[in-house]
Amino acid sequence: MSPPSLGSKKRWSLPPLGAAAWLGALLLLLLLLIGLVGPLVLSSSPSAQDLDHLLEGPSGRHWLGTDENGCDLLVQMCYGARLLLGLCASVVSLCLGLGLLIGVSAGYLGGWLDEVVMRVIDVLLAFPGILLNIAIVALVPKAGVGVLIFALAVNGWVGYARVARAQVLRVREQEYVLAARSVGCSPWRVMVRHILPNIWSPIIVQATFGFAGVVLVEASLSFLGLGPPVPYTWGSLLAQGTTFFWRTRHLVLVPGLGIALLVLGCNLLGDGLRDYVDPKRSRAR
Amino acid sequence: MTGDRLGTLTKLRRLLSLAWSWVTRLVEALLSTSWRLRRYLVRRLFSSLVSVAGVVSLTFVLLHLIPGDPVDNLLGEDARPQDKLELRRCMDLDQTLPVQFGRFTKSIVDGTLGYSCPDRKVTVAQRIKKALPPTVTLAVAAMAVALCLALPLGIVAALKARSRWDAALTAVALLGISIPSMCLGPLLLYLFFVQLPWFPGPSSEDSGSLRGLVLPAVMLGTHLMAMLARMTRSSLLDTLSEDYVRTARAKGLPPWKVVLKHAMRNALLPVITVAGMQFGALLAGAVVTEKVFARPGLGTLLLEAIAQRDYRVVQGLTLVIAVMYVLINLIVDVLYAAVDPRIRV
Repeated sequence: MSPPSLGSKKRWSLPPLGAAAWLGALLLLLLLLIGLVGPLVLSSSPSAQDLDHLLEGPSGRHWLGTDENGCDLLVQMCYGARLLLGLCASVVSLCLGLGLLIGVSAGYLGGWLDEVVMRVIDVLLAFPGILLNIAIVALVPKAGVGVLIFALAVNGWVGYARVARAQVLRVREQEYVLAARSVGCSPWRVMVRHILPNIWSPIIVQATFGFAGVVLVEASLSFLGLGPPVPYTWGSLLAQGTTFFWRTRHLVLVPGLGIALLVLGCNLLGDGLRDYVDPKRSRAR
Repeated sequence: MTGDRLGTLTKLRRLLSLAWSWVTRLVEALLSTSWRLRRYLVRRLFSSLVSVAGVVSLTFVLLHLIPGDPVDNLLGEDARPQDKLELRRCMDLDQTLPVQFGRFTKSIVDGTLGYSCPDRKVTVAQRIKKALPPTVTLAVAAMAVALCLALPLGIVAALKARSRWDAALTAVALLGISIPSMCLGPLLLYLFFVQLPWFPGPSSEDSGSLRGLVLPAVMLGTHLMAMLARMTRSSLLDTLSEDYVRTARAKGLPPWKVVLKHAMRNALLPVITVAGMQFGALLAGAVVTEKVFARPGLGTLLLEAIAQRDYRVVQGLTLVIAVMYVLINLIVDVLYAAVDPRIRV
C-alpha cells in the first residue's frame, strides 16, 4: 500500500490534516504575510531613529517598542521576517535539490555511487553539523550571504538524501518502474518522471521540519556573532537584544517569540503532514 | 527505627541484585554468544574508525580550502614580513598541502594535536583537556535534566492519552522544541537570578558550583527534554497495545508494575538510543549555553580559536568532538545489540 500522495490532482479538496496542523499552516502563512506585506504597509524605514524614545517597551507610538538607537522594533521585525524567510527558504530548497539529486541517483543507480554516497553521509552524520556551519561561516574572510547559505547547506542535504534513497529503494522494483525501464526510458527519465512523483511526500515532511532546523541554526550563528551580518533577521535582533537584557526585556522576548512561533508552526504542520503521509505512525496519536 | 532500616536495607539489596543481574546479562551477551555479535562489533568498530578519519580529512580540506590568509588575519596586512614568515613557518603554511596533512596526522598520533602558534608553549591537546571537563559536566547535567523530566512527562502523557493532561503535556513539549535556547537562557537568568535569587548567575562567585550548573543545564536540556518526552509518549503508547502487556494486566499485576516493568522496558529502547545519539548535539549546543552563562569550556575555546584564526585548535576540537560522538554512538549501538538480539544482522 503506497502512502497517499500530497499532490493528487484528482479532485481538489483540503487534505484532512487535523486542527493542529492547520494551526501550524496558519501561523506560517501569517508570518509569511508579515514578511511580504509588512514592509510595504509600514511607512518608516527600519533604521529610522526616534531619539526621544530609546530602549522603550511597547507603547501606542511604537507597538513593539524601540531599540537602543530608537529604531522601531515592529518595522525591524517585518523586514527581518522577509529576510529570514527568504534565507531559510533558499537554504531549504538548495538542500532539497541537492539531497534529491544525490539520494535518488544513489538509490536508483546503486553500485559504487551508492557506496560512496552512503560513506559521505555517514561521515557527515558522525559529527554535530552546527560546528561545521560555525567553522565555515566564521573562517571565510568577508563572507557574504551566499557563504552563509552554502555553510548551512553543506550538511543540510544529508537528511533529504537519506529519506529519498530509502524511498527509492522501496519503489525501485515496483511494476511501473520496471515497465518504464522496459519500454526504454533512460535512467534519468525514469528517475524524474516515474520515481520522483511517487516518493516526494515524506520528503516534503522532512523539509517542513528542516525549515525549523535552519531557522534555529541561523539564530544560533547570529547569536554567536559569526558569519556575515544579515541585519534585522530575528536571530541578529535577538543577539543585539541580549546586550541590553539587563535594562529591558522586550528586545529579547519579541524576536525570541517570533522565532518560537515560526518553529512551532513548522513543527505543527510537519507533525500533521507526517501522520497524513504515514498513517501507521498516527496510530500512536 | 531498626525495622525501617532493615526495610531499606532489603530494598537496597534487592535493587543491587537487580542491577547485578542486568550487568551479568550484558556481559554474558557480549562475551559468550555467537560470532555474529562479535562480527557485528568488529564491523561497527571499523566503520566508526572510517567515520572519524572522514571527519578529520573533511575538516582539514575545508579549513584549507577556505580562501584568505590566516597570517594576514592574525598580524594585519602591514605587519613586518619577518614576523609573517615566522608565523607562516610555525603554522606549516609554507609547506605543501600533503606535507601539512602528514604533519597534522603525526600530531594526532603523538597526541599533542600540534602547538598554538605565535608562542609554542601549550599544545592544543592540553588546551582541549582543560576545556573538556566543564563542557562534559554541562552536557551530562543537561542530559540528566532532559531524562528526569522527559520520562515522567512522557509516561503520564501516554497513560492519560487523549485527555486534558495529555494535551497540556504535548503543548509543553511543543513549546520546549520551539523556543530558541538563546532566548530561554536569558529568560531563566532573569527569572531565577534577577527576580528570584535562587541560583547564581554568570557573574556570581559560586557560578562554578553545582547550583550554578542548574540554569545552564536546564537551558541546554530543554530541547532534548521535549524531544524525548514526545518519543517516550509515542513509544509507550505503541508498547501498551502489545499482547504481552495485556497478558501482564490479565495476570492481575498492579498497574504500575505493568507499566514500569513490562511496557517501559521495551518502550525505553528507542528513547535511550536517541538520547545517546543526541549527546553529541548537546556538546555542540554547549557553545551557545557557554556564551550566555559566560562559562569556560569547549564552546568558549572554539569561539576563541575562531577569533584568533587558530586552525589547529579548530581542527583538534573537531577531532575530539567527532571521536566522542562516534564513540557514544558505538557504545549505544553495541549495548542495544547486546540487549536486543534482533538487531545483530
